[in-house]
Amino acid sequence: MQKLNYYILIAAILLGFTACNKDITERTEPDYEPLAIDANGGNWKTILLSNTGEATAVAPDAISSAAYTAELNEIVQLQTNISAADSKLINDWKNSGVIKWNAVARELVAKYNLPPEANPDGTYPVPSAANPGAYPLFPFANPPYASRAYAAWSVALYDALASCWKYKFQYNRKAPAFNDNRIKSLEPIPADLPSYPSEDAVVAQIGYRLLKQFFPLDSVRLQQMSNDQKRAKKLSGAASSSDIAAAEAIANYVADKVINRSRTDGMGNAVGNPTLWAQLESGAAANGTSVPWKSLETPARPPMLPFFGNVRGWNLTSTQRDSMRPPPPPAIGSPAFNSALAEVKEFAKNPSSNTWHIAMYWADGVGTYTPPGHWNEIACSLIAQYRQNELRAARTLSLMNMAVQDAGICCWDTKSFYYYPRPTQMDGSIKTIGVPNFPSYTSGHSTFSGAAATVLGYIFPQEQANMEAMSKEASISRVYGGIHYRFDCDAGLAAGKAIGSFSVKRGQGDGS
Amino acid sequence: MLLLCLQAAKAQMPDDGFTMDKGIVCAVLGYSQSKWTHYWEGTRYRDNLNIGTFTSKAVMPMLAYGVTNKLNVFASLPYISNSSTAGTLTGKKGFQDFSVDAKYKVYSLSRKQFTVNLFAAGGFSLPATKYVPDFLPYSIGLGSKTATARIIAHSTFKEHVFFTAQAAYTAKSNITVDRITYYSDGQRYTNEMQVPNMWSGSIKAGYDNSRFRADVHYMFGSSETGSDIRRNDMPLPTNKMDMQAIGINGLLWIPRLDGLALLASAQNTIGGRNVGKSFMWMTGFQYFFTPFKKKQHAKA
Repeated sequence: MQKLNYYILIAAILLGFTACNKDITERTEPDYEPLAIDANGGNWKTILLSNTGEATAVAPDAISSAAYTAELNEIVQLQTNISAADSKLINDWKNSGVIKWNAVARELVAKYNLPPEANPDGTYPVPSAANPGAYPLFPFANPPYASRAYAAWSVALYDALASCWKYKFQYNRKAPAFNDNRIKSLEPIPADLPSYPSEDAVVAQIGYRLLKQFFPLDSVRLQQMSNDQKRAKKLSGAASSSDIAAAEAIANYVADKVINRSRTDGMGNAVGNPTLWAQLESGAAANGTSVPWKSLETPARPPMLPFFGNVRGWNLTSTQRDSMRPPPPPAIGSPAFNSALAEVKEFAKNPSSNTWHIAMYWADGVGTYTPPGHWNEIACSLIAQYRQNELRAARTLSLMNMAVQDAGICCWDTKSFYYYPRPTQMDGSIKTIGVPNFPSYTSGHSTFSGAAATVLGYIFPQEQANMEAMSKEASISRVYGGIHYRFDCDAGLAAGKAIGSFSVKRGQGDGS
Repeated sequence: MLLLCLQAAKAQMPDDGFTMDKGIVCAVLGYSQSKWTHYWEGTRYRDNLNIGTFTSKAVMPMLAYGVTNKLNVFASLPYISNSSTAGTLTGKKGFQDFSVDAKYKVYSLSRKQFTVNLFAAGGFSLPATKYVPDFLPYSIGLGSKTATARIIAHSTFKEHVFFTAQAAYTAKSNITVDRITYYSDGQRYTNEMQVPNMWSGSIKAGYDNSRFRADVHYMFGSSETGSDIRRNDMPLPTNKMDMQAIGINGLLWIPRLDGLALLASAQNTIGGRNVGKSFMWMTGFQYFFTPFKKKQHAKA
C-alpha cells in the first residue's frame, strides 16, 4: 500500500513536469506573394517630393555590358556556395521587408518607451539627443514621439518606393535571375517587376536611415539589418549591385529630405519649460477649466510634451488644427461632469473580467509600442491579408501614420488648451490601470484610434466595420481603465475620424 | 513579488521534516502581512514614491492528513489582498492558487541519540479563480499551474534539537494574459508569457518538545530563466524573480486545549532580484484531531 502511494506520487509529479511546455508561440511575419505589382506606381503622387522624378536614378548599364556581366558573375559566384547562414538570410528576408522593418520600429519604440526616473532633488531629467547613451536614454519613445517616428519612416518609405517604381518601369531592367540562366531564383521573384532600382534595397536603406535618426543607440544593429537585407537579395538572384546602388541613392535623397524636415518640425520645443508649464496651468481658467490639471505622480512630473500640438504635421495647417479643436468639456461640478465621474468610478471599483480585459488589451502603456504601434501592427496584418506589394504597403502605412501623428498633434493641442484634470485628480479614491501624465480631455487613445481606423477603413473597405468597432473598443477601454471620462473618449474619437479623413482625401487623390 | 515569502511561511507543512501519524487531521488557519518600500529593479535596489509602501495580506487555510504514518497529504487555498499607500494603480485581491502536496518518508535511521529521516515530497497547484496575473506587483499570483518535486532531510539530536534541509524544483506553466504584445528581453508578439521555473530551498535549525517548537531558517528562491525589470518599467510575470531570506518560526501548544497550537513566524528578505525587499510576519492556529478514530480502532 505504501509503495503504491509512493509510485503514484512520483508518477503524478513526473506527469506534471512533462505537461509544462515552456516554448511560447508568437505571431510570425506573414508569408505571402503580392496580389499585384502596381505598374503605374511611378505616377503616384508623392508626399514630400515634388514628384517621383525628383530623386534621380541614372540609366542602368545594358544587360550585355561588361559592367553588368561582372555583377551577374558576382551573383553566380555567391550562389555556387550557399552556406546555411546564407539560406537563413534569404529566408529571413523573403517576405515583406516593409512589414519586417515596421516590426523593428515597433520593437524600438517599446524598448525606449520608459519614462525617466526622477532626480533626487525632485526634478526630472530629459533625454538628450546629443548624448543619447546617458541616462535617461534617448529617446523617451512616448506616444507622440512614436507617432512622429512611425510617420517619418513610412512617409520616407512611400516617397522613395514611388520613385523607385518610376525608374523600374522607365528602365525596365529585369532581375538578375531572369537575365542570366546560370542564376537561380532562390526565393519567389515577381517576373513582371523590374529590379532596377531594387525595392528591397530602398526598404533596407530607408529603414536604416530613418530609424537610426529616431533611435541612434541602435544604429549598429539597424545597419546590420540593412546590409543583411541587401545581401539576401543578391544571394537570391533578386537584385544586382547596381540595382542596390541605385536604390540607395534614391533612399538617401529621400531620407535626407524627411530627416531635415523632422529636424525643423518644432519637436525641440514640445517639452517646454517651467515658465510655460505654469502658463498652461494659469491659462486653463480662461478656456473654461476651473480646476487645472496636476500631475498625479510623486514628485510631480511635468506634462508629457505639452507643446506637441505645435509640431508640424502632415495634412493639416495650424488653422485647420484650431478649427478642429473639440468644444469645451463639461464644466467641473456640472451634472454632466458628475455623472461622467461617477461612471469612471464605477468601472474602476467594479471591473468585470470583460471590462478589465478590454482595458488591458488596449492599454499600450509604459514599455510598449504605444497605441500608434498597436495600429501599425493591425495595419500590417491587413497588408498581409490583402497581399499588398511593398509600394502599396508603404502607401497604407504612410496614409495611416500621417493621420495618426496629426491626431497626436491635435489631441495634445486640445489637452494643453483645456488642461483638464484626470478623474483620479477629482476623486482620489479612483484607482486605475495607470494614469498617463498629461491632461484628460481629449483621450489620446481615442483620437489615435479614430484616425487610424478611418484610414484603414478607406484602404480596406471590407474591414471598415471591423476597424470602426476596434477603434470604439480602444476608446472606451480608457473609461474601463479608470483614466478617462466618457466625454474625453467620445470627443477624441470624433476628432480622430475627422483628422483621418484628411489622409483619406490625400489617398483618393494620389493616383493609386 | 511577494509570492516567494508565502511558501516559506508554512509550518507543519509540505516542506518541513515533521510527520503526522495515520488518521490525524491538521487544520491550519494563518494570517500574514508582507510589506516593502524598496525593491530590486533587476539587481538595482530602489524605492518608488508612486508605490510608497506595498502591502500584501493573506489568509491561508490549510488541511493536512496522515494517510499513513509515512505519507501525509496537504491542501491549501490562500486569499490574498495587495495594495500600496501611494500612486494611482488599483489593488487586487481574491483567492489565489489551490495546492495539493504529498510528503512521504522514504528513509529513516536511528543511532543512539541521532535520527535521520529523508522525505520525498511533491505537489501541484493551479489558480482557483481567474485572477489577473499580469498586473504586478498588485497581481495576487502568477497564474501558472505548477508541479513541485522536493527532497527533505530532517535529523534530530536527543529528540528535541532538529536540523532540516530541503530543496525543491517547481515547474510552472506558461500563462495567457490580456495584452497581445509585450517587451521581455525583446518584443514578444503573443499573449502567452513564460513564467520561469524555479529552484528553492531552505536550511533550518530548531528545538521541539511537547510544549513548543521554534526554529531559525534561511531560505532562497531562484528563477531558472527570466528577464529583468527595465529601469522605471513595470514588472512582468516573465521576470527572473530571486530572493533570499532569513526567518524564525514558532509553535506553541496551548495547555488544556488538546491539539490546538498557536503559530507565529517572521521573515526578512536579505537579497533579491526583481522582487520587493519584504518583511513578513504570520500568525495563526493549527488544530490536530483524529476524526476517524473509532472506525480505525474497530478495524484494528
